[in-house]
Amino acid sequence: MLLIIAKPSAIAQNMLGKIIQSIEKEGLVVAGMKMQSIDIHYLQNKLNREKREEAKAQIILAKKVPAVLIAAYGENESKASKKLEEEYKWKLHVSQNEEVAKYEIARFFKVEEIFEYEKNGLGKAFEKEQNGIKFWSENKTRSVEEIEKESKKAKK
Amino acid sequence: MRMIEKTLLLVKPDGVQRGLTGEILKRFENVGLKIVGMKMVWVDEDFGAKHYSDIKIRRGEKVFKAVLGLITMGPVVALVLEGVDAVEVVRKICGPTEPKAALPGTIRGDFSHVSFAYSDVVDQAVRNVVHSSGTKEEAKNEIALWFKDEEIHNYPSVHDIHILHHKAEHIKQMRKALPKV
Repeated sequence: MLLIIAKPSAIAQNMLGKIIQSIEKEGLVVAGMKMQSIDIHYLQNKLNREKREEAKAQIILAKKVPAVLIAAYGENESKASKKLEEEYKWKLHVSQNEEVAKYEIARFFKVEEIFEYEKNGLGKAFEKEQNGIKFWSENKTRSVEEIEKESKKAKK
Repeated sequence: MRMIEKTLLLVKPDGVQRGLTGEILKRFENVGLKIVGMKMVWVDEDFGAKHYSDIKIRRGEKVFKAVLGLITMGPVVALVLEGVDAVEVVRKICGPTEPKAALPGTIRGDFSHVSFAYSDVVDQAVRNVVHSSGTKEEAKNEIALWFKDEEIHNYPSVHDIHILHHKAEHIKQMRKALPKV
């Protein structure tokens, strides 16, 4: 499962429909989706780290526009992730690999916000135990700080 | 501004499962409506009954059960759309409830074709891809039912420049407010 973020610039440009179409064209199934302001989790950290004034101003603008978080899965995730990044560049964030995706999805989605359903008569394509989904279903009560701590430990 | 309205649109489970979400969103974005709230949810029967509370009175128990079955069949994508006279405009884009009667160019006319008579025979709710609020009053109630206040956003977008604001000083301001990241 991948986390795809349609960033504030894409939302302000009204490109969401096109982005979802591209995701589905790559053979991915959208399993969860929500519009949410991501300033607290993501942009604030970025702002603290950023030193260039121009980039800072851009992040402050981006904080005023929500992002759309999409959890999607499919057979060929790594290929799809590369293609999507190529197509949309900075307008989209796509998880780099499965490990990162696990962490990112746990950070932004609760387990009850991800759905397993039949699409286009293709049948259900993922098992709850596979693709790292069990990982966050066990940990749905953990806070962001706890997840961050654990990921730091894992890196060491 | 009083003429700017919000309305609720649902991409029903049949639309989501057929992979029509992107295409449907694109149509609303193309006319200049702003998506101010969105989420994918899988509702249970209690919630569905709240949403369709008027159908029981208007159409009877049989239809009520059928539509309840459809809305709880899978996840739906719920949207709040904002724009000038949004309620009326969104209904126009969706087309009439019966797909058979919907003209090509509308969502229901382009993506569905069955009639009420057929769904009666097979005892199934008519799969008409989307749901939209009928009146301003209904829109208000439905948005309150589906979305919390903090899930609805107020933000600048390109449509503010091209469609809503025509004065030069506004356009300048709006351009500066759009993020590039």
